[in-house]
Amino acid sequence: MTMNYPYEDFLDLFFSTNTDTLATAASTSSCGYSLNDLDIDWDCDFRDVIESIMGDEGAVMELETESVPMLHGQEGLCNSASTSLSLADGVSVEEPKTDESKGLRLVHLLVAAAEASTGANKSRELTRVILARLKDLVSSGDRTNMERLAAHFTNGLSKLFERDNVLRPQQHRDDVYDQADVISAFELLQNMSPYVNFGYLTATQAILEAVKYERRIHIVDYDITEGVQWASLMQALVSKNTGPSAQHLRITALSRSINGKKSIAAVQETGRRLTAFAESIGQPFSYHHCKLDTNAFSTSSLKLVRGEAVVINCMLHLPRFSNQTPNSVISFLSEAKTLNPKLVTLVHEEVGLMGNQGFLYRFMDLLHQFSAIFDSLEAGLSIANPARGFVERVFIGPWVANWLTRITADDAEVESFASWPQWLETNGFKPMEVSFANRCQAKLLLSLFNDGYIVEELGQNGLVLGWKSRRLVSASFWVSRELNQ
Amino acid sequence: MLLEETEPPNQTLDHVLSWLEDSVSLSPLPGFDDSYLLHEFDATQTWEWDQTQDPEHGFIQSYSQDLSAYVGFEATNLEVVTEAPSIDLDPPPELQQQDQSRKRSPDEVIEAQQVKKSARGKRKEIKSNEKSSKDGNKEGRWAEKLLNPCALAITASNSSRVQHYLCVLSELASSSGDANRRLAAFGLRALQHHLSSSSSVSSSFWPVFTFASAEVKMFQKTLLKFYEVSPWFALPNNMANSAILQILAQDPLNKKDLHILDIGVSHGMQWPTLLEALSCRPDGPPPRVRITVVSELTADIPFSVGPPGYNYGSQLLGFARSLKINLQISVLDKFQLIDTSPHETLIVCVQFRLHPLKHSIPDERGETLKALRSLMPKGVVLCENNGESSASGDFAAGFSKKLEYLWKFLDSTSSGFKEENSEERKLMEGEATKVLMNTGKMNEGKDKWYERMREAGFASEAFGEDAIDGAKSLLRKYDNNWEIRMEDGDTFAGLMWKGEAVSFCSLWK
Repeated sequence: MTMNYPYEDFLDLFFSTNTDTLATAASTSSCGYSLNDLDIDWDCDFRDVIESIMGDEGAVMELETESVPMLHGQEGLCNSASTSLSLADGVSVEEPKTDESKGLRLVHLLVAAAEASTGANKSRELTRVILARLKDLVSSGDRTNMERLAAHFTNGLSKLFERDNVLRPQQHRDDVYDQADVISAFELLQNMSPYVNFGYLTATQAILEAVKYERRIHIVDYDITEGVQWASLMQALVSKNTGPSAQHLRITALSRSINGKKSIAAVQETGRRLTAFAESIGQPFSYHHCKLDTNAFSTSSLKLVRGEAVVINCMLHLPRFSNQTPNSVISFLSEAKTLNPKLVTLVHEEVGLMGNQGFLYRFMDLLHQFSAIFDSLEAGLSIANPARGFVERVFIGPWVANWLTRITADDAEVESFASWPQWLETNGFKPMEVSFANRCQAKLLLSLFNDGYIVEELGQNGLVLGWKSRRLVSASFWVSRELNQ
Repeated sequence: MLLEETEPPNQTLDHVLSWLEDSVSLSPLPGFDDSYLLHEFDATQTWEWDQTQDPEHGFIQSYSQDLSAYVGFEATNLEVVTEAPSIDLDPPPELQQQDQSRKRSPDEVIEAQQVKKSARGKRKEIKSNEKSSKDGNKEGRWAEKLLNPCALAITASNSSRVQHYLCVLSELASSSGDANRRLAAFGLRALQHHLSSSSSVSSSFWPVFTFASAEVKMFQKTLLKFYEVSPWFALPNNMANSAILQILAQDPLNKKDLHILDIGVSHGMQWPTLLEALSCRPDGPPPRVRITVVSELTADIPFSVGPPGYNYGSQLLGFARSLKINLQISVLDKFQLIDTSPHETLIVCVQFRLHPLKHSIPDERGETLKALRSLMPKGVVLCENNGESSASGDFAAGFSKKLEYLWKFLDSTSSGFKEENSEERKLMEGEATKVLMNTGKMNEGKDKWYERMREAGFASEAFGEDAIDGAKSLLRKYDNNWEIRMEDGDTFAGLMWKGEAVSFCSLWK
């Protein structure tokens, strides 16, 4: 199978064909890719480069000197035309050339900017100079994925830089798009990639299964955004039972005043839209807006009706304008547990933020993650398409910036972004098995999109969507332990 | 090889020769020589004549004019003896009084000093502000924040890390940008040179100008410009000359010859002012002045090797003749024990030439100083780069110190050379960059040098008031960020740039 890779030359330069790492990659992939298919493999090989770039310490050194193929692979790191120089002690080093791959140069600069903006060797001046150079390089007419991605990361880093260095940070009005724009971008994204719908569909399917025999359903939504998820749920409910047997659906959407008036207004607007939609298809529906003053959530602020089945819905895979801090998620889930929910759905981004690796490691991982996302988008819609640019501007730019802000937080906080399943498991929730139907549906969803996407099972109670061997987003399902005791 | 001539040697540039001969035959060289001829007649006339000079650049113009008369000669080793002046001309007493400020009337001098004082007060305020933001100053030096980790990664043989830094550096470096970008460019080149030195790959990244590869005229122009815009060498030269005069003055009845052993990097720039000052002494110049220049042509010491065709000897001789000084110049290819006679006052001037010598075992620095001691000089002027020596001897540590040195150089030339990317600046900086290339150590703290001098049997000597005042007034011509600090009972004169030590001058007996 030949993959039509948008920035093949960059990858050729960047990646070794280290069969050892490829074998590991293949073993983690359940989608039947052969080794040959994984010739170009973001996950493992990129990680090698990340590690080698980041490793100052002896541990990485040993790794390099032990592994001859890796060193060999690095000879392709810069332009192959460049002459290989050797250190006095025999370690091979490349001479940088001006004609070397731009993508590689951008990666080096981004890493350097991230490194200069944090940690012990933090340097405001160096960060400023590198960011200025990056802006020059990615300024206009970016034709490759890597250039576009670098532009988003450069903007994100610049915002961090301004936040840290300007006494009164200016509001970036350009980030806040009209909700109509957001919805159009959202729809375009749904057509380009299964990323959004994977989370929504699997969660919705799990909810439908869990509340099959309930007359009244009450969904408490952590972050409702535009409410796209619920339109499909309503349709499914309506198609199953009509007339007097129709199930009543109630949705409580939370909003947090710390996220600004705009987000509150958006939640209200979503309510109006959902109510209108429910009416149009004949779904009994009521909508509640629960305004929280802080990140802390309390069940006392909910309106509860005896006999209704409570579902806790927690979609964390599209962090854009709302500030999904770990504390607010923890508060939400802890309190929600006391409601004895029939189901807790959790969808979150699969980022490799495990361990106390520090900002630079997280940054590289994020770069890696978004490279995969961009790569998958390219499969759906060419970079030359203006719609793609629109989605990137409205959606992906803020998404990257949001993540960059997140990973500047302290280790413990950052780690919790990546470890929600563990948190649930150790905080009184137990896994709820993924149904066969749900697994099938997920695979069906992928069949609508290009090759390259995979679905894997994540334990008994989860599914994960990946691009090639990189995990992008996972959905998992839980119930509180008390419910079945 | 020694050449004995009574006339200036053949010149390739005929018109210069004719001009030189004409001026010598008619009157002394243009410049301040005219002025002191006029001194003989009337001091006010002198002042009027001086009016025509730009008061700011008066000194340097005269200095420049002297030196611009020096054009290249073919002979490398020569000894030229001019006839002793037959005319008995004692400099008038006024001249002596105005020695420090020849170009100005006494009133003007006082006024100027007052102005300077108030300006200085302001400057001090600024300086204290600068001090408080010194960390910010260091913060601005981003190039070192990439170059040093890269050197560390090279030391640790972490090739991908090295690769990363080289990539980033090549993105940000520019040989014509600000000081940081230039430091990044020079540093990058040095690192690549270091990496390639063990392989056969030649590193030709972009042209770097060095003294040795410069055209003679360009070289002269550059030196003159540099002395005009930076005290980097002008100040040590000035202090050395003051120290020489100071030593001679300690023995006023001494009618011996003066013999200077010049182990320096001034390429003759230092001597016109000394000759001039000697001729202005109440007792006149010594019967004979010998300058023995040690030029190690093979050494890779920054600023030490000029272009092949360059020789300032005959110009200097012509100039000396105009001052009625019996000057004799000889050039040694390398340092060796020279003949000294008991009828000579031997003074050794060592400036910026010893630091590349090894200071581990065998301690070449110490050995050289002991050899100098064996010549029993009346005085030794030692000027060197001043900086903390690196604790460990590995590549990265040494490189970091060299970068610090080069940063100060590039930062000061940035503000010195007003015209951006002037050819002169490129040449000076290209030459300074040699420090990154050679394997020798860049800096050593003053304490080490003092210890070494004492071990060699020298005792430190305080600079006199004239020397200190002269240096201070010289420094006023330059950027405000330059300052001089006298320490240890005036035995130590430290030249600072933005509060950081650049070099020191010391005097020993």
